[in-house]
Amino acid sequence: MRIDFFLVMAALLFTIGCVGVLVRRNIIVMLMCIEIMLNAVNLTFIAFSHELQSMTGQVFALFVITVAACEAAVGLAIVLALYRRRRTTDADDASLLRW
Amino acid sequence: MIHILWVVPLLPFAGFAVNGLLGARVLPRKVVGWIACAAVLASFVIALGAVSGLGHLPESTPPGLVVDHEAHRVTQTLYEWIPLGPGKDGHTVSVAWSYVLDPLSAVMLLVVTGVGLLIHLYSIGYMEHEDRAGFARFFAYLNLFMGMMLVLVLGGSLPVLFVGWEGVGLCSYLLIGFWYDRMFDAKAGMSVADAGRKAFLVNRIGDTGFILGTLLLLSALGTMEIQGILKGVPGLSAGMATAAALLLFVGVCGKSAQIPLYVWLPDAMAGPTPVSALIHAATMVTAGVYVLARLAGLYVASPVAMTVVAVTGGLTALVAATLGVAQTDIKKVLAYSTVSQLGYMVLAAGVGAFGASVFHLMTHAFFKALLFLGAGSVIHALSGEQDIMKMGGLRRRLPWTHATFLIGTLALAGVPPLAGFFSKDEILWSALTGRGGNLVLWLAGVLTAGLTAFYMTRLYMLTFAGPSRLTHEAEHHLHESPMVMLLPLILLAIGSAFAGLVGVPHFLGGDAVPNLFEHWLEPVMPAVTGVATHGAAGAGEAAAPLSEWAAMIVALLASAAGIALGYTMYRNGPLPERPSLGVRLVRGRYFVDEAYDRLIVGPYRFLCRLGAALDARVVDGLVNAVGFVTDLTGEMLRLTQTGYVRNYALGFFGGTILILYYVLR
Amino acid sequence: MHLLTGLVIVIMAAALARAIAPGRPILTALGGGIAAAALLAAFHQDLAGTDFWAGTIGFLAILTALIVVIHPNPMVSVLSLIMNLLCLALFYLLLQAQTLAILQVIVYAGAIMVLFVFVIMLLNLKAEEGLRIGRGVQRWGAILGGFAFAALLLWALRHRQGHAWMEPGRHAGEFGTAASLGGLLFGQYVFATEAASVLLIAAMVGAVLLAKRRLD
Repeated sequence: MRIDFFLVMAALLFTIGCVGVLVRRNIIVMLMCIEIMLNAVNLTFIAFSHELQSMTGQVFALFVITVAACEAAVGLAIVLALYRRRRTTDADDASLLRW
Repeated sequence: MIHILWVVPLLPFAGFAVNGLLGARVLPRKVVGWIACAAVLASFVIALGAVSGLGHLPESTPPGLVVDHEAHRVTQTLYEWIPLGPGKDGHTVSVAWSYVLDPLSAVMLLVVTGVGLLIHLYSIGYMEHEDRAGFARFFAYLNLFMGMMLVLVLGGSLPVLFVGWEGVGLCSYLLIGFWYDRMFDAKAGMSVADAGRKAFLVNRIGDTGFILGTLLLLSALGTMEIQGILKGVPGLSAGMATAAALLLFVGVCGKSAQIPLYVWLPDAMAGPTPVSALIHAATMVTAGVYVLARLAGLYVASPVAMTVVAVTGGLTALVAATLGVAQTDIKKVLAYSTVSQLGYMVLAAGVGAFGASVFHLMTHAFFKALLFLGAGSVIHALSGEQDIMKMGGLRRRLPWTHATFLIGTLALAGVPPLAGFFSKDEILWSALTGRGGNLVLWLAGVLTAGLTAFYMTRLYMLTFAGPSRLTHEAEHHLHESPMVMLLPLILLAIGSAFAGLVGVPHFLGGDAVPNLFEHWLEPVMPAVTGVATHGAAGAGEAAAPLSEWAAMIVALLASAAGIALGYTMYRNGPLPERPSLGVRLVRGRYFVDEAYDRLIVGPYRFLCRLGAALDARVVDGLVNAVGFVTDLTGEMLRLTQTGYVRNYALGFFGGTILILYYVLR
Repeated sequence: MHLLTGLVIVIMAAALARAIAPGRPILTALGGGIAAAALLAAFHQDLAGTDFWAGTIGFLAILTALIVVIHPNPMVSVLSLIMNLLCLALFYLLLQAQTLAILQVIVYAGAIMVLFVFVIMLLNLKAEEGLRIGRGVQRWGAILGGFAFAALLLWALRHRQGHAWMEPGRHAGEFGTAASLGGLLFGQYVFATEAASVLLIAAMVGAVLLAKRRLD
């Protein structure tokens, strides 16, 4: 089997994650879909690092994990603050910019 | 005084400026009137001096003047008016503002200033009932008119002439529409303002022809100076000469009220009577004839044009005379008479008798102005009544008016030895024997003479003789006119009586009474003078079907018959109403105005409406559409601003897909 | 043999989808379809033992991702996501990224996901009624866009000459170990490492501040 399998896999996961972000209204689920996307990217990095025999890919993947952690933390904190204000986790309820 | 020739048109303009700016509020009425008259008087005096100086021109040339001794012509160039650029042969073509004084323009000059002066004087009395603002406005316009007419007469090149041409057209409009808030012909629904507009617009049609003719000459000859044109005529092809002549003749038809552009003149009677006398009898309408005489060399070079001119003149004379027979407004009769007499002048020009044409112009100025002013006197006496059906028996009540009017009538009818006889006789003779002259034209002229005598006699009988048909109101206020109005009448009567004696034809006077007029004009029109000269129209003369004496007798008989018929028919007042077809046709003025309206004005109005609709729908629609499209676009773009974050994210996504696609291609 | 296995797996997947998302036949079919596709892709590549497991894990990964996206109950989504992360960790193992696989499990699945679970339980989120996937344009735009996007990505791979995976004797012994990873981290990429630590501190501070009850 070729490396392409993993690349295809990553592409599909990324797409699912994208669609999920756009389709769901629950903010937390949206965040989770973002995590899926990040993971797909990680998979791509690692697949290429395996192919090219370079550890750089894995280093990068590590950083991605780090950033994902930070982003999840801050994002959830925001969700909490939002919930305290408006008692909702619906993304469409954060629409003060709408007339 | 020739070197101050340029002052002559300037003085009336000054009068216009003063009266126009200050007359309404600042200056008292008397002063306004005297300023206007003084301006014209001064012009007249200077003109007289200049003309008398023409007889003995100095050998040395004063600065600014160009003297042509052979032609007795003085040209005074003031400045270069329009530089046009390189002409055909490389020299710069330009139009100079120049005045030309030669025997021909001298005649016109004296007639215009002289008769104009008398009419200005008369107007002081006639317009006394106007309020101060109107009074001042009237005299300002009159002076403006005089100035423009003088520019026209003295103009040395066609553009300068055209400035005067347009100027008198403008003044005609202003003066016809002087009482702009009145209704002129309630039955036809024509207001005074409409009449003024009509005059201006019909004249405009003529002006178009004039301009085209001028430009044609410019392109063919490279110059618009009148002398330059005349010198260049031999170099023109026959077709070009004919085209230019005919185009200019269109302008003449417009200004001098020939068929088919005569319709404005009768309606121009909406203006005050002095206006009718000055503009529509003595001066403006003769401008066309003047142009014909000026460019005589051009017309002679084109037999086709001459024929057109002659036929138009003859036809106009006859048709207008028939129309004059059935009019009931004293001024309208005189208006149609003017058209008819102008037809005579044009006819004379068309057969090469330019001198006779100008002679008739001069005599006509005298007696037509006299007749109009006399009519004005009658109207003034009757407090505004113009319908001859309501007049009659004024002979004893208005003695001076009656006497002068009678002299004018007889002069117009061609009774010797008054002025009209000599000039009309010369025209009729040249209609018979001149270039292209023939029996038909002569007969038309004779018939016209008879009709003229008839309708003038009718007018006289119904106005002054017979039983009185005045209303009680009019009876009550009847009074003879003041001296300021009578004096011009008397002077003009003298002129009508004796002015003809300067042009006694050779066959009548022999060597004892020379044809002074012809001698005077000889330098300017050597080859095209009236038929009284031996040789020029010799070919026609030898083959004449009648001798001069016979022709004269026939004409006299026609006039006598007309007078006799008029006298007997109208001795006891107007005829009973018998509206036969002929009468109705003539009363309706051959329905020419109606035809014009239907055929020309109607479609034009339709086009105007079309244009207006186009403007409103298409043009405005386009502009509105732009706004509408912008609106619509805004509405559509607004839909992307939903306020929902996820929709924006979808936008990102879409953009990413596109970019990815393009990157991967 | 393989076909049978594949069919079994498909049926299992459908049942799983059915169980998790009852009353949604379309979603079930969708889930099953994608699973089948994944499996076929796997089968096409000359199935060896590793290949088969790789294929199954891939199928599971996609399935769990779908469940994350589709399921109304956020708790189920979180658990499904954890499952997804574990599948990915297995992938990393297969790709000689051992350190990262373990780190993935510890950090990602073990810490981040636990955070998600905490928040959901804190907010006491229940299953949403009717899934409220969003209005017309958004929903179909997203789905269509997703297909387009996937097609594009796959199309990008068309010219690749991929290396075979797991060639014998291909990898140096040190590949993927913690030592080599650490060597790069503190060697070539030390700046990035320090920056990452700053980022972590910032995130911590931010999270604490944002989630404070009241600023008094």
